[in-house]
Amino acid sequence: MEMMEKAEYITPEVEDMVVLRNIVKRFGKVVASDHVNIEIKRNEFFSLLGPSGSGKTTLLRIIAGLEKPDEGVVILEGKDVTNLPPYKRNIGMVFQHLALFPHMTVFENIAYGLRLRKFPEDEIKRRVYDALELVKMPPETFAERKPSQLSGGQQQRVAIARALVTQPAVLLLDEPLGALDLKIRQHMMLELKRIQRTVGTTFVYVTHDQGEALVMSDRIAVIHEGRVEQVGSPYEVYEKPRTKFVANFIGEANFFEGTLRDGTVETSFGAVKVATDIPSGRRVVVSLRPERIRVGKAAEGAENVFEGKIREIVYKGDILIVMVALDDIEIKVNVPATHPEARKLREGDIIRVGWDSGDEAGVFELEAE
Amino acid sequence: MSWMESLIDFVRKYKLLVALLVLGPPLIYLTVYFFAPFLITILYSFGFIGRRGVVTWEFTIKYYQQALRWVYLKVFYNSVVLAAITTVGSILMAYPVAYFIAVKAPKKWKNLLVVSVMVPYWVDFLLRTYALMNIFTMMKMMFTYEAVVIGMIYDYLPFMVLPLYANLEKLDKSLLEASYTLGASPFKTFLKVTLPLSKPGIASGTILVFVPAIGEFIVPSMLGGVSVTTIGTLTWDLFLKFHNWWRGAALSILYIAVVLITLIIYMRKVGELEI
Amino acid sequence: MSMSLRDKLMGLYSAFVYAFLYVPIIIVIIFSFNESRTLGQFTGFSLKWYQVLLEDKVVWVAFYNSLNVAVITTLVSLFLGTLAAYGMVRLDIGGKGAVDSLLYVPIIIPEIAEALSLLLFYKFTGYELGWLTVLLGHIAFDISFVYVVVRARLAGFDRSLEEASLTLGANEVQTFLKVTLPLSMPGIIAAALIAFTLSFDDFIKTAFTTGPGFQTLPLIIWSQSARGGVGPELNALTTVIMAISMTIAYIYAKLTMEKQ
Repeated sequence: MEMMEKAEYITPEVEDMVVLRNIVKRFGKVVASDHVNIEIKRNEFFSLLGPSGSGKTTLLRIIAGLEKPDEGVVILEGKDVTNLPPYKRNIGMVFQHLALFPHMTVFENIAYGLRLRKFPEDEIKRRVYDALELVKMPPETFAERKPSQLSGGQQQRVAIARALVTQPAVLLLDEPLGALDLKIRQHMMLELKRIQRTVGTTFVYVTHDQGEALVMSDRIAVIHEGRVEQVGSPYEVYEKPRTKFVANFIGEANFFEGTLRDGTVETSFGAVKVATDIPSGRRVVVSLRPERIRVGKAAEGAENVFEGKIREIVYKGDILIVMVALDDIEIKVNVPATHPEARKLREGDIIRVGWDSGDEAGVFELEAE
Repeated sequence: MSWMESLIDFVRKYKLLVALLVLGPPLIYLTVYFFAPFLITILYSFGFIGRRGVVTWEFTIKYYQQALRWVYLKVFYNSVVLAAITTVGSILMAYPVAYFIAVKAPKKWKNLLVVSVMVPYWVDFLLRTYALMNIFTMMKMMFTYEAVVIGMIYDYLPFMVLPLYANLEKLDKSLLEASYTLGASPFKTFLKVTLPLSKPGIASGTILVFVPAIGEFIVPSMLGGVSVTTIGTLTWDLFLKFHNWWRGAALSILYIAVVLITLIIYMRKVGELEI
Repeated sequence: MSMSLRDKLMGLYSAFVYAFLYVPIIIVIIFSFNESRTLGQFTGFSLKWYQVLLEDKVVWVAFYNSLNVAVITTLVSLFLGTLAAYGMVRLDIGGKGAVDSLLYVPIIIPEIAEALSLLLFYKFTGYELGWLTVLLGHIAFDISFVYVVVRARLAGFDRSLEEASLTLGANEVQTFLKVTLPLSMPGIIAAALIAFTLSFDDFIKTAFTTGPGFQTLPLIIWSQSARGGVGPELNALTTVIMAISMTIAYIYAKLTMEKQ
């Protein structure tokens, strides 16, 4: 609750900070946003997650006012801002390539928005220094540097400080970590989360990286071909994907098809018991996460037990990835390195695999032909 | 700030008008002082007579017929031959240099070497050709075909080095290393990897040298005197010596047609010019 | 890293080509300081040919004319060419491809063809040949060069810089003044340098469109060297013009290399 006090600008009567209502955006023949409805709550770290070209960046730019939707309404803090230009919206944005002004120092970059708002010079200095402290950049060292004299991670921090210093209601981030290497990226993820907790601003974060989205977000909207596939907490989208696309895009999954009859799916390698409400007789796809499949002795007594030949074993340190052939399909099984039989597995061996109904990530109806 | 806001509102509302206000002045200028003159040249080439707004015109194609007479066709042919020699000569001189700067030269020298090629780019042909006159006079080579050829290569060389350099500079060095590891000798590697990849650079350079060289006036006139006649010197004489504007106009239109056709073929085959 | 024999030969060949490019220029400079008129024999250092230039009223008038035309050409073509570049890169209108091709035509068309068409145009419209006709022709040609250079600069920088400015609270006009203009400045300066030298050095267009009584420096060199007349005064004059062009070229190179 401490963070609430720091966010002094919040107008308490509005709960939804960003509302997208029925947003449609076309670029020529391409539909980038197809009747999108999203509500983003106060203080939320909200991610728009999808593959490249899914239309997630377009949504962010529509919130920013950099694109105008063809249809639909954008509401920020309870106000209809659909027709307002970016500079009349109370937002901050961190761009994919950061867009730090190369002709200005770090200080001037961060002060840019404050100067436009005609703050007195001493107030500007105080706020810029506070912002630099917030992103852990000692102002004495960095204020007078040019962006080109900073490392990738440092530029990142300056871009965040610049976007936050004007205390926007919403901070929009467009894949800001994409250009960083893995180590710094992992570190910056935690940093972003920390900054978001400290300032309490609503973050809207665009990414194609499910790892980033799962680690940082309070809620995630999975975007595919301009549509919202699912909105939910990281747990929900991972454990209870609502569509086959979500199951496939987030985490890893084995898929098998078959016809549903009385709670079992007739697949090519046998009948699989599943937990679903879909009526009998439909063609369905079952999605099963590799870590939910048990092997060897641990598989005994499971509701679904099959035997298959080990095609390949990949050692990953904490787990072994084991590819098992079941009739004509190959499934992926993650075996923890601590599993008692882990060291005895050999390629070519016959192995028992098993899981219970309800272990599957989801059962999805195939569209009727 | 209100004047600013009203300006922005204006821009939003009258997009087309703003486009007209921004693009209008440069386009109108070019229309009057560039495109209209060309239209008039075309009219002249068909027998148009106009002076200070008074117009008499009997449409005729006789100036084209004259321009296509054997003497003139021979001049065309000579010009193309001279331009071709110039082009080949500049490729032979420029390629090793461009390759050296792009691939071999130590990094700290690179900028200096590139700038040194660029600088003559900025001095007009007239001055550089004049510079050659000193040497040719000393060597008693003035008014010879050799002097003209050397002068042409001298003037056009930077136009060949720069596109070649720009192309070779982009060449991924690991491709050469890959070729060595696959067992190719440096010479084989050059023939099979470097040369084919630098074709766009050679093509750009060729266009930048060959096309203007066909119509070159200054070099053949200053270094060749009356001994070498090209489209350039012919046009100059027809206009400024004999005041035969009609035949000159027809000749010039034919020349422009050759230039445009060459460029269009080039654009179709190679695409963008790399400069 | 030591160089192989092959590389050394290539270096030697390159040195030879550089010599080919620069020796004639160096000879002009050397003989402009030669005491005697005899070509090919340096009899002693002297500034007397520069003295002759300084005292030659015709040269001074031509220098003034060249400078006058080049400065006005630069200013006008800079304004018109930048307008065109900004309009083409930033305005959201149809038919841009066609306009772009039109703006490129003056660069593609051979100069002599452009020069004679201008002459025909002036004769037809009844312009008095002289300062104005030379100037108008130079501007027409330079607009396209300014356009190409400034446009490349504008198109080259990340559009999100302007968008960042908008999201930080600057409107379009403020964004143009604080971000777009400062960032395109190197391009605009480069274009100005190019426009100036193209005009200052120009010979062919000037020769076709000038009238009696209006001489520029290149015209003097032409008329005096036309019959093979090489002399120390001309060497001195050529040295001066080349020095101006090369200084500008060097500034340009500095500007464009630094940002890389």
